[in-house]
Amino acid sequence: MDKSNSLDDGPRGTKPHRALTRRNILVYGTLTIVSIYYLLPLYVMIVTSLKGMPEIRWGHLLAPPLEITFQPWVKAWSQVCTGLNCDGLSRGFGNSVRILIPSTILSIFIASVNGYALSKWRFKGSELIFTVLIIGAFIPYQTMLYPVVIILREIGLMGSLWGLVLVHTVFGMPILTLIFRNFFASIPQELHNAARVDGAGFWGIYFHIMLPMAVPVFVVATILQVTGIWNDFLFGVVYTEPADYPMTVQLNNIVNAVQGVKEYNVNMAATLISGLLPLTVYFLSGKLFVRGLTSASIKG
Amino acid sequence: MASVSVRDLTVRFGAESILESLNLDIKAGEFLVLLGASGCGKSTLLNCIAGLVDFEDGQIFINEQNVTWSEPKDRGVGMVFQSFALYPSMTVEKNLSFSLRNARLSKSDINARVRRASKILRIEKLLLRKPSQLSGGQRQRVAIGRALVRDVNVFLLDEPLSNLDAKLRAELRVELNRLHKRLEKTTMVYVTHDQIEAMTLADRIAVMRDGIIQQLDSPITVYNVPVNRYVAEFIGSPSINMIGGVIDNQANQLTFQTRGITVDLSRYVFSHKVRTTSVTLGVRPEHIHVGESRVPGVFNCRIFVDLVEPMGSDTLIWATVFGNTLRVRLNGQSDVQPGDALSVYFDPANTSLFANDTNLRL
Repeated sequence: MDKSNSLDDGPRGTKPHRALTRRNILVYGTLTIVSIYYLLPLYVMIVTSLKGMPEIRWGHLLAPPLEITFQPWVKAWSQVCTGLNCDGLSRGFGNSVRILIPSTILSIFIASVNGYALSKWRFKGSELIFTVLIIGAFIPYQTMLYPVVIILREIGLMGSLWGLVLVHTVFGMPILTLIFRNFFASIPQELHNAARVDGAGFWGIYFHIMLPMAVPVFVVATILQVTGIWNDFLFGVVYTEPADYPMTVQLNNIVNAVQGVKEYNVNMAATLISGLLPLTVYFLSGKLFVRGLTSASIKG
Repeated sequence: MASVSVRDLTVRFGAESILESLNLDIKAGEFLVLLGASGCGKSTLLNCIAGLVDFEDGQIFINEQNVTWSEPKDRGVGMVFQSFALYPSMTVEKNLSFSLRNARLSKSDINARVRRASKILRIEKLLLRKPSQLSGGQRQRVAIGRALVRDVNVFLLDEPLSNLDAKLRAELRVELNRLHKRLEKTTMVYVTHDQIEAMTLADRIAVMRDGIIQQLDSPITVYNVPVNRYVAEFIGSPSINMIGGVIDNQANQLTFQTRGITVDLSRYVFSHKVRTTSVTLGVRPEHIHVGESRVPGVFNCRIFVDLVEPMGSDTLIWATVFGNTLRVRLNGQSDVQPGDALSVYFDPANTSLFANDTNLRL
């Protein structure tokens, strides 16, 4: 009897966890400080974009607006002038959308087929093609700028939206193909063989078997391409005419205008507008993005 | 009914030769098992028959038609894979009907075939589930069903039970056996490294090693009369006892001799002429019995028990006799203890003698 009592003594059940350990304070403290460091500029931008010019001139950078006005946002979107056009960022937004949609769809579709063909249908020279593609991922864009100008001129697409779409599709190819190839390589060959015995061909296997399995990777690729193409400045300024400038180029022209008064509130509003799309994409797809990244890279 | 013939098949992956001029004839309606350790080329051979591997040289005939250059789908073969290889994004029903939809069969025909196959395999209630919601045994049933719906002439099974636990494996083995009896016109080629599957399912077993078929015979023949040392050691569990020694010929009386042992070979049936004296005697553990035999020519001796492994249904004894290790399998349970001495006997007619230079059975 005594013996069994002595066994009952002591800890039992779940081990308690203390919240305020040195480790927790260090980790959460660091995270908080870093978050503030990164969020402060965003705060300043939002606050400034909601102030009128007189209030800005007082110089209280961090103070919230005394009187909230959306006028800078309206002006940035529809009235601010770049060159001869005075229809605001809406023009650049439209251009960016018209560049973004075909570039994203084309580059992802082609890259996924590339990745599928390179990993599942080994053909003569497939390794060589893959190597060349990978080398492409490491060549600095600047070295290609002028050759691409010549190519676009020769095929008559220089200065057009479709020329830029082509450039985005081609330059997105190495990294996207790599992502897709790694993912498809992780799908067992037996599955591919089973589909072949079941009478599916190249496209049958791609659409019915591979594509449904690769949805997370498509999400990752879409996020990469949407944010990458939306934020692109270099290709946009080099390969299009002013009327077709994407939003980033137009934003630069607004912010860096040397004539007249610098309208900080309009500049801030314009910058925020141009960043809204990538921001929304990240917010909406945060979990999917992480899941896709891990499934695409770890399995590869 | 479809026979399968493989002619002079040579497969190389890079510089490595997997199969070298392999020939194999499988009769129509036969259940043939390709048995061998991993890496012996048995799966490669199966994939060649299915048309999934590009090979260097050779021909494949199915139903006496040359299908060497045909696509897998045009060969009239159904295949079952070790990893089940179910399409994860499709329901069971879609998995079963995928090949039929590819072949553009009519809706009613597809439904009828899916229903029939799922009834045979007892998976009717699972038709709307995804593969991830199935247990291992159910998955493999669906995988078999995928081959079944197509009414193929030849079933190719690549280690279909290896990914299942022991109990399920035994159950599905019996089911496969029934299925073959039921589809008596269907030829089955079955790849495995499991000798029990091979023994229980096969009409004939092809034992493979390093890309070469060592022996192609009925299971009982492979077990009783292995053509060489490799086959003898591969088949049988616990594996066969191998004792090195010499053949002695005195006054036309052949004997096998090794440390302290002389086995009278008058009851042994030689299939080849003895050209060498250095040989190995193979005795299966289950052919050694406790007790004494008065039959002339039967070998009697006393062994000393080292270790006893009770397995419930039978008992495995590790013993020594004049420095040779001997495994003895006793039926049922035994109260033999390590350190005991036992009288045992075996009939040389049940043994195999292998020449040490060629490793072939004499």
